[in-house]
Amino acid sequence: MFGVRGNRVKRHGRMRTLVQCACAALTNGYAAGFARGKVFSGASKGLCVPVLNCSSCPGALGSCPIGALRAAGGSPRHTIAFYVLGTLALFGVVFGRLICGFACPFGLIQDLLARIPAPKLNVPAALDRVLRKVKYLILAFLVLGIPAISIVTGDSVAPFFCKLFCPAGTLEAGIPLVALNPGLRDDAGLLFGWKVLVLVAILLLCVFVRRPFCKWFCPLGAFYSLFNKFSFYHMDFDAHACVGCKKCVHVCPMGVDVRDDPNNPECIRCGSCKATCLSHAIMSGWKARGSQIEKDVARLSEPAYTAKDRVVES
Amino acid sequence: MPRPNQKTMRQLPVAWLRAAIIGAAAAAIALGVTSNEFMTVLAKGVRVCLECVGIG
Repeated sequence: MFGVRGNRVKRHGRMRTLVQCACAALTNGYAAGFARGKVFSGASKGLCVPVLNCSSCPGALGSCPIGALRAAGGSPRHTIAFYVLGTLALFGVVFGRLICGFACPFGLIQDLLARIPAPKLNVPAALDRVLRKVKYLILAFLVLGIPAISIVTGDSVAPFFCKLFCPAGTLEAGIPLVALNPGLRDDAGLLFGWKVLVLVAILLLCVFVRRPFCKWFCPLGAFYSLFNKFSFYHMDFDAHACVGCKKCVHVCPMGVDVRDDPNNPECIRCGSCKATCLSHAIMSGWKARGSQIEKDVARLSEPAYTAKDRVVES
Repeated sequence: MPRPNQKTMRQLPVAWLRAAIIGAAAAAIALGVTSNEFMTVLAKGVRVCLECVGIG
């Protein structure tokens, strides 16, 4: 029984890592950019990718939605970033936070770092509850609020999240570009040092806490979490099939109890709980499933013989 | 008890909400593209953002 669960979990983990690597390669496919130290300048840069992937990454083929929100929203020509917000809302209502679990390159990095054999810290519940609200504050004030202020004042304002904090930008864009461009290397100063410090702190945290950036700081995850309750892709839990082993709770990287709330805003739909559940009580997908046992009861309560089954003798 | 393929009353508002959001998102994308927001995003994307990189 343990062997069966172990194989399923490993198979699922390998499949998910493969999908994450494929998505990272798809969003950062311009390999020549890394060789030349320059960003891609094709038309696809006008498309918003649905993941946290810095536009200034030498390999990036699309634009980061956070950077695009700041560029479009609050600029003199556009008061509200309709195109960017519409794109994110479309991805959100279709996938919810499945994007965080399967597509985000920074999520992949956090998952890989979590595999380093190190004791995982037990964050106190009260502290965790407070920290989980921080990503919504970052979304509301640094990402959406700042462009809104610039609409009122008429002045362009700095992208504070990207400038002061975003570790994905430092890892994917800052470090490669500074390493490949002597001019940028000379200009790197205190701000660059601060960003590298933030990146190192978050990467270290990822070794001891699972998905800390997704849980506590990611504004894109905060945005998609608003759609988890009603997105097309959703999780289902069959309480009748559950045997109460709690393996799903222990395996969840986001600390969600799927039995209480299958479509919790914190759930990144990684499917680890579904892979580990041997009683098939956890389901995920696009269609409303309902309880398999309820369906079986409904089917068995239908009459075995109806009038249409009567054979008419000639 | 509803049949397996029958929507319950609880599922209907969710379906309407999804449809409304998809409609609003499509309209927002169309509005943004027609007001040249795509070009604004493109113009930013093809340049190195010194602030994002940690230089500016």
